Amino acid sequence: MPIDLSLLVTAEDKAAAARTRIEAAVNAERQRRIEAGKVIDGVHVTGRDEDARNLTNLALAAQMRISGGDTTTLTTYRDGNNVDHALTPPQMLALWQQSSAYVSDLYAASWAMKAMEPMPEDVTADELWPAVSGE
Amino acid sequence: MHISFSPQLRNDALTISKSGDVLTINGKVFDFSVVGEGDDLPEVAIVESDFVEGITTRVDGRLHITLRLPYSRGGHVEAPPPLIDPSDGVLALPSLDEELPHAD
Repeated sequence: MPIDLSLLVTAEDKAAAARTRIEAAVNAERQRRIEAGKVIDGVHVTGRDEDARNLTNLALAAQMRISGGDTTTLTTYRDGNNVDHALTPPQMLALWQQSSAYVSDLYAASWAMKAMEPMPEDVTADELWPAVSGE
Repeated sequence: MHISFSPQLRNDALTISKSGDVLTINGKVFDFSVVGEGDDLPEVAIVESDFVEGITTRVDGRLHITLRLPYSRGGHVEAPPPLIDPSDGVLALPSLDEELPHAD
């Protein structure tokens, strides 16, 4: 056989490969945005693994305090800009809730992007993702 | 069919005949109808000839292929213009070995 057809790259192969590349780029951008975090009520909440673990533990402690009737004890939270914030248990819990919601929104945005046909060329465009500051 | 040429200094010759998407290159038959719209056929897939260069593809239904065109004379050689939709039969290939005009 003068032509090795096993080496033929079909248009479908090329489209699938391009889609896989874009999906990987979406995942990378989502992770970058999770780690970069968001400014919530003036607090820059970052989302590295250790940041998320810390905030979850602080939120758990805040929940226990609230359950015990304590809504005033202040806990220091150092944010992504190295600014200390003294937060009450309800404030700490709200911070965790909003941060968690932001990560959920990032996932939802990434899934929406992967469902687009065609998929966007620039998956880092801000308009495709939830706002990074607000409230 | 859109046939481009890439001049190459070499000692052999190239003869091609065409029948639809089938090219007979120096006696070997290559059926390029296997290349569908938007497909890429890399050079390494052409296992019985080294005259095909780069990626053979099909755009808007037209096969695009680049062939190495032998020449043996010295000096700079420009790529000749492509053959666009040549008729079936033996192709009249450009010759790269014609005498250069003398400047004097």
